[in-house]
Amino acid sequence: YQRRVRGSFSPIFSYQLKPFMDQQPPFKLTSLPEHIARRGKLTTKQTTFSTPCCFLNTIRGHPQNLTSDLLATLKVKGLTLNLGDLADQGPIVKTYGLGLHKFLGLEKPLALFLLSRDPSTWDDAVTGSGVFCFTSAAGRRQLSPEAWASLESQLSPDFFSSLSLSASYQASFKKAKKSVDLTLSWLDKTLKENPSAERNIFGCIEGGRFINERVRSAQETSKRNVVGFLLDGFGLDESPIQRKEVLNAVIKELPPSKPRVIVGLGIPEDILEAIDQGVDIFTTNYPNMITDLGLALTFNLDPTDESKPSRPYHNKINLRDAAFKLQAIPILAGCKCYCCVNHTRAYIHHLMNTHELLANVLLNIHNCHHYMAFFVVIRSKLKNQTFNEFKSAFLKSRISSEQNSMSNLF
Amino acid sequence: HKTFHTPIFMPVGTQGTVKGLTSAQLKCIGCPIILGNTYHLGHRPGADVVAALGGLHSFMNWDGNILTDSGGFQMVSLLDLAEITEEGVKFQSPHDGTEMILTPEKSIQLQNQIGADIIMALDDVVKSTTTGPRVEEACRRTIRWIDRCIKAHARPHDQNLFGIVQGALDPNLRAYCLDELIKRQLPGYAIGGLSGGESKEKFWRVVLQCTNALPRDKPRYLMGVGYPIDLVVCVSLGVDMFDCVYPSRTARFGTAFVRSGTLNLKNGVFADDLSPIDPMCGCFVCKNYTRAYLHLLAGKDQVGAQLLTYHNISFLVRLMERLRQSLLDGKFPLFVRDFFLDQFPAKDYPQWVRDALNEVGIELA
Repeated sequence: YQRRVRGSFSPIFSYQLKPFMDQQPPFKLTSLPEHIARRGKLTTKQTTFSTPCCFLNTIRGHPQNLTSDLLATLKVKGLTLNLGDLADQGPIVKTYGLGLHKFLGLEKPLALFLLSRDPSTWDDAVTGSGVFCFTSAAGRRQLSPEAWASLESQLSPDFFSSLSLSASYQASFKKAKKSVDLTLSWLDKTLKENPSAERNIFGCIEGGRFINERVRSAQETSKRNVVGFLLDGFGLDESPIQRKEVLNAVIKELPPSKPRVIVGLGIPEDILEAIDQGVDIFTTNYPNMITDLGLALTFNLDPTDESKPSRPYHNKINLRDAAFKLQAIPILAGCKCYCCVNHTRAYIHHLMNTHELLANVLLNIHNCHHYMAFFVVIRSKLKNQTFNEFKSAFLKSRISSEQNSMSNLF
Repeated sequence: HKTFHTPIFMPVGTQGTVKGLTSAQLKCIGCPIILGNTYHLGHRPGADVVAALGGLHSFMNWDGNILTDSGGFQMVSLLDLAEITEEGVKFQSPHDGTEMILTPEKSIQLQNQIGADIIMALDDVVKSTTTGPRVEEACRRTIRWIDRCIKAHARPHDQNLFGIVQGALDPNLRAYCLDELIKRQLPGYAIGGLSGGESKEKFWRVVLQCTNALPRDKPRYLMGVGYPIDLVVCVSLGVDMFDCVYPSRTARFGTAFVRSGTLNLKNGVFADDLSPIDPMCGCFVCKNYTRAYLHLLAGKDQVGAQLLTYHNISFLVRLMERLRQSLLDGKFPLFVRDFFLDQFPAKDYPQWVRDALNEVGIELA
């Protein structure tokens, strides 16, 4: 693909759409290509794991309250890292020489995905002249695609996203168009600066609610040598129906062989819908948000499982409630997380009442465990081709559990 | 619950948790005993709740040992909210203003319900810098109260009641208190009322007076101490057990213990320091994390607090173990000398340290 300017031939950026010459692509579909809801395998230097899966968001390089010994007890397969947290750490990680995983103190091999924007705060900016900005501990800063390429090559995460400007569903056409143009231009410049980034860069699909812009973004990004696609601008201010419509339009344009990551979805219903539409990887801090509210996830992971004794479920329980003061039972019967195996609702209730740090530690362990277990169930349903039945049973069960629920939030 | 060796450092778990660490992590550290606080647990969740849930061990799922403080220290720390009489202490809760009267009988009853392995007598505590008749009143009252505690103690066969020596900085009052407590033949004795702002010169002399008087075959527990230097000196003076919030509290502010002193990991100088906190430590934090990464978290982050707390407590537990090993190896004075050389490479040791160690026959390098 070479851009022709009228009357002259001036290659600005040239692409050779080529298969990976020197290595296997990191993603492999393991379900049949005609299935829209997919299964796959994602491979990094350190590990291989199945999709659909979920990466946990991090703050300063670690998930909330999870030191690496605690993290190692959870089935977390990947973490997202934020540019703002590691913007100045490139040189030191390079000097360290043992890799980003070890620098972060990780005990288990996890996939590390470096994002250019903190997904848990919708913090997105660009200067008037189109320069990417981000927030670091030292305040707002600018970053060129070239500098981004350089930082990435020093940190050397398993995957990283192109610089992006997000446009949410409610954004204006002008903003949506700008998000597509700038994001593409940043992607091209990053790849030009460091062509080997095509091994691990995810292109970002922008365009807000404007289907034409979304299609343009998807088509253009597909022409670049990216390893996968990050579906941006969702989970913000759109309804599930609106999201479905736009996501459909985007995914139609994407090659099935490359993975699709979506940032900012966390609610179980939203996860199932997105998987049904062809998304492979999710990144979220949903379990942490639940913990911050003093809630524990207790939704029924598999309503189609006949072997479990039927009992009323709550989707979440509010451990600050005085009802739990004397309950010497775990948060969720049968849960195998460290918190449920070792501690009681009464103890967590006491820790929450006294504002003890351990309350958050234990709740985050439980909530992350439960949330990851949800993905284990999803993967097995896809494997057994019972995903559709599971999905409708799950959605129904969530609604009836909500009527039991002590917390009618989300 | 389990046999353990002294000298020992006991991390503080006031409200039934050592701040930020799980029971499993405490076990990994190799910590055999932790503290709980009767006043605080008596208030929230309440001793009845703890008892209903099987006692504090069961409530927090800790199968090591627990020592509960009687609530006496709160007479000092919450003085504005306390009214002290012969009957007991009337506290107004800092949380919701409700009143609680802590008598010796009540304190022991709460501690019987909480179920710790070692329980402390309710003593009349004054700040060590207090002077005047209040000091003598507190000292004599402590003795009257120990008898009430002994009488009220319903579980003498599975909970060890320790008495607490008071008397502020007055050697005569201390001597009186020591005499009287020793007469009661308690399972162990604590040296209380110190570590409250008194001069170190006076501090060590009181500690030594107590350790010289207390029976050699019973444990001596110095309450509220402390800093690594204090721990090493006081072990030299004959103390067996210590507790202090310092390792966990200072961790939350970004400070880590090393053999030469402390590191303020918030300092920019650590931004590119790729060594572990203490290369000779060997704890999980020192095995996995560099100072450069911890610098990003220090003082800012809950995980930073968790990691530094883990390290600091490990550090003190290991220090006590190494002290003990040096005693077994017959190399204790050498260990103490090396320890202080690490802390003061220029040999500018504090005078009180020199004096205290000289008194027990240890000369620094």
